[in-house]
Amino acid sequence: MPPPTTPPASISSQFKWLLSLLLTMHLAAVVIPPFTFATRTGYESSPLANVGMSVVQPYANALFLNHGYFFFAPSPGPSHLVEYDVEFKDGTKKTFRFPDLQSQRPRLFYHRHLMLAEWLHANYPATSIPDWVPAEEQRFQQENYQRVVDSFRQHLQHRHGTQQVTLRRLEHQLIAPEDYLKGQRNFYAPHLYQPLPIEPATENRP
Amino acid sequence: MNTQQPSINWTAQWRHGWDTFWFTPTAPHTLALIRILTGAMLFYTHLVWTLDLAAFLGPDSWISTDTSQFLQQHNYTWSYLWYVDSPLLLWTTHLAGLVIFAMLTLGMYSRVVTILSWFIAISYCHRLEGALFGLDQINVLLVMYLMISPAGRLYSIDSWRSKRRSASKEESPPPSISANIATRLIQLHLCVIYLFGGIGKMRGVEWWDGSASWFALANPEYQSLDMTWLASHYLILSAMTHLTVFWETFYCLLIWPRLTRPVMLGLAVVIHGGIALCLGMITFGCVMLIANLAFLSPATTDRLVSRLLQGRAGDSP
Repeated sequence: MPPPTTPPASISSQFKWLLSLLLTMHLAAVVIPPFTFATRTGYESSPLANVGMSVVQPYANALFLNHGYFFFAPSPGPSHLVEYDVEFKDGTKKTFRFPDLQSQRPRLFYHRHLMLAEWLHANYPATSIPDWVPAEEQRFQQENYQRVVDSFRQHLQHRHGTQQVTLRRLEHQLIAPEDYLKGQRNFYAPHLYQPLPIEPATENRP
Repeated sequence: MNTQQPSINWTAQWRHGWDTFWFTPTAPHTLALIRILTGAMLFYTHLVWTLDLAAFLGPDSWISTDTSQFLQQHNYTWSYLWYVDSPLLLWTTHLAGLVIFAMLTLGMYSRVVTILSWFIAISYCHRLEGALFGLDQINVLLVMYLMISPAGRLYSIDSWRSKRRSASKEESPPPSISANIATRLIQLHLCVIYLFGGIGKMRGVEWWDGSASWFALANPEYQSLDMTWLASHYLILSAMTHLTVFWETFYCLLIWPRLTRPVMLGLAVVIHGGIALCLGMITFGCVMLIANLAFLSPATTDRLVSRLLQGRAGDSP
C-alpha cells in the first residue's frame, strides 16, 4: 500500500517559483472564463472580468477552458428543436425533426443532435440590441448565425439529395407541475411545440 | 509577566502551506485509475462519432469545415480536422484516434499516448463546436492534467512490461510531485466548475422556488427515466433542488475537510448518478464521477483496486 503523503520534496527554490507562477497563471485561466460568464447581464460582463478575460482568452480558448459551467442554469427551461421540410425530386414532401430519440441511438448520439439544435437557438441574434453595441459586433453575430443556418441547410440538402429544404426552429415547452397534477400529462401534445423564426428579425439591425 | 505574543510569520506559513499543497510527492494510484476510466470515456465518446462520421466531420457535415473555421477565426484555436477532406483520410485519422484512446486506457506508451490523446480530444472539440456539452469539457480537462502526471506507471501495460524487464520487486512506483500537481489541478478545476455551476443556478428563480428539479426531470428531450410521479411529492422535488444548489456552491469548501469529504463525495454519486439515470446523460454523469475520484487518496484507491482484483481472482474456479 502506498504511503498517503511524504514530506515536501527538495526541489530547487527557483524551480518552485517557476512552477508556482505557471500554476497561478493556469488557475487564472480556469477561473476567469466562468467568472466572466457569471457576471454577464444582457450584453456585458463586469469590467473587471472583461479585463481578466482579455488577458487569458487566447490561452483559455486554445486549451478549451473557456466555459461558463452553467449546467441547467440559470433556469432549466424548454428544449429547442429543429424541424425541416424536404421536397424530394419526385415531388413528395416530408417533414423531419431533430433530435429524434427513436432514430438516434445510443443516447450520446442523440444528445449530439440535441446540442446542435440548442446551439442554433442560442446563436439566434437578439432582436433588441442596445445602441452602444458596435454595429460591427452586431453584424458579426448575425453572420455567425447565418453561417450556421446555411451549414445545417447544406448538410440536409446533401443528406436528402435535394435543394428543397426549409428549416424551422421549435421550442418544446414544458408542463408546470400544477398543470400536470390537473391532468395535463401529454408531454408531446402538439400545442407544446411553439414555432420560432429561423431568419433573424430585422428590427434594430445595423 | 511577559506579555509579548510570539510573532507569527504569515509569509513563511503561507509559503509552507503552498509548498505542502503543491509540492508534496504523492503516489499515482488514483491518477492511474482516472487514466483508465478517462481513456475508456474518450474511446466511447469518439466511437459514437463513428456512427455518422461524415455528418459531423465530412465535407458536407452539420458544421462544415469552412463554417467551423469562420466561427473560430478570432479564437486562437486550431484543429487538424480542418485539413482532413478526403473520406479515406478522415476514417484513417479517426480510427487512429480510437487506437490512441484504447492505448491510453490500457496504459501503453503512456507518456506519449496521453499527450496525443489530449491533442486529438482538443482537435475534435475545436472542430465540433455546436455538438459539444459538459462531457467534452471534462474529458479534455482530465486528459490535460493526466499529461503532466505519471498515471501510466501503474495498472498499465507499461508497468507490467517494466516489471518483466527489470524483474523488479518494487510493488509501487515512488510518490512524485508531478502526480500531486496533476491531482491538485483536477481537484481545483472541479471546485471551480461546481462553484460556478452553483452561482449560475442561484441566478434562476426555479432554483429558489424549488421547481427546477421538476423542470429538469419533466423535460422530454432529457428524460430517460420517468420521474414525473414526483409531481405529487413537491417537498421531495424542492429538497432535491435546494440540495443541488447548496452542494454545488459549497463543494469547493466542504470537499477538503476529512469530516465532510465523504458526505460531498456521497452526494456527488447521488446527484451525478441521478443525472445519468434520469436525465439521459449517462456519459456526463460518469465523467463527473471520474473527476471526483481525484479526491480519493492513493491508499484508498489502492485498497479498492486490490479488493476488486482479489474479488475477481476469488471468483475464478
